[in-house]
Amino acid sequence: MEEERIKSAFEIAMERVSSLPELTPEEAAEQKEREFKPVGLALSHKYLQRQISEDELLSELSRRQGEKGEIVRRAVISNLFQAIQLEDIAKADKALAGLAALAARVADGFRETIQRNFLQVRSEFEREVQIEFKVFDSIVRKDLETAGIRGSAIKPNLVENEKWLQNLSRMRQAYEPKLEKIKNELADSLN
Amino acid sequence: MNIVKNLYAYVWPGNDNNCNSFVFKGVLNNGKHLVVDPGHLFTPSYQEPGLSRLLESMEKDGISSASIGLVILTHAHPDHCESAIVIQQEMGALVALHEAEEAAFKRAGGKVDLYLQEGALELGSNEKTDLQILHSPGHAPGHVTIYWPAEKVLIAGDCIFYRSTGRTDFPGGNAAALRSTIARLSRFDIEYLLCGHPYGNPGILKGRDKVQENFAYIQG
Repeated sequence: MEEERIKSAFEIAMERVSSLPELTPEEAAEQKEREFKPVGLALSHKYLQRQISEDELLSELSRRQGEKGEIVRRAVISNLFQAIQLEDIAKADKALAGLAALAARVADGFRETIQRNFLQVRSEFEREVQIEFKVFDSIVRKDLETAGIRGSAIKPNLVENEKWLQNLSRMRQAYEPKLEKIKNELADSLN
Repeated sequence: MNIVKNLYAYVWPGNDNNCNSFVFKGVLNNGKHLVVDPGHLFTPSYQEPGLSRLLESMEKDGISSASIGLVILTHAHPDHCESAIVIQQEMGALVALHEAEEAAFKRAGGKVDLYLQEGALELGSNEKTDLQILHSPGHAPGHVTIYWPAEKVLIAGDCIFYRSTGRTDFPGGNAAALRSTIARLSRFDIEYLLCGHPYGNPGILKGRDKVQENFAYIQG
């Protein structure tokens, strides 16, 4: 009788793996997404943190071709879009510049136009926030006076005030359509 | 212990470390009170009750805990600020402290309603109480003291104690700044010096001469 050969741990593991069913196309796509999306997120994060330039970002993307490259590119674009927010102008500006650089075949001055439009929306938003902030500050100070608290020694902490945060959220929502319009123009140029 | 007019002192009676607390009774509108440095919730080593003991003592003086409208923190060390978070959350009082103490207060789980800075603090509408907030760094970067000119009271927090001073070896502490703060405070006309801890003495010094003698002793 032939003696049974002792198998290595690797051989046992491979036998078990071979007995597993094949991944469905959806599962395979999901796995690739899980594998390559973080690369895109990391690249866009580095770009937004100014650790790599636009040229370096483009060069990194061009190094990755095919399905893998597409996933990375999609993740970069998605993250840059998320960074376009009214409260962080420096980050939004960087994201706009990055997206404009990624856009293929755009007319001359496209980037400048997009940035100008964003700045206009941003300055309208900022103006409204400043006006509302003054109004809110006077309301809070009036409430304090009613409670019997006043004087040059006190400054209400408005930025963490629940009501102020609600006001800010309402104003942000009102500006969302204008911001969306800019994002859509960028999205069109990326297709 | 009533100090003067509507100002009460609650000297920490326990064995573990906790601060002295001070209350201006009914000083805000609608009869609400101002509490300065409510201290620990429970002391860290022996788990002695801090806040409940303070509130019981206040009730004995006819000061309802349900009517606390404002808490001022001289600084955000846990032995001064911990109970403020509970008073804020459960009794709806506002909490005020210097902006430089905000990070420490947040680490303890608190949220600042009012920032304090050097200047005037006017309390109440009919019978006004005019206080001065003095930025007094050294023990902590955003430490404040409270001066009541009408009654010549200084609530000194942890700047100065009976024959000693606050430590400067905590984060943000600064010995040179504390020295300047003490020199500045010593020039105020003080009849009642209310210290932040009962170290070797209740920390309640009455009388201009005693107060000046204490400053002189400390300043060497």
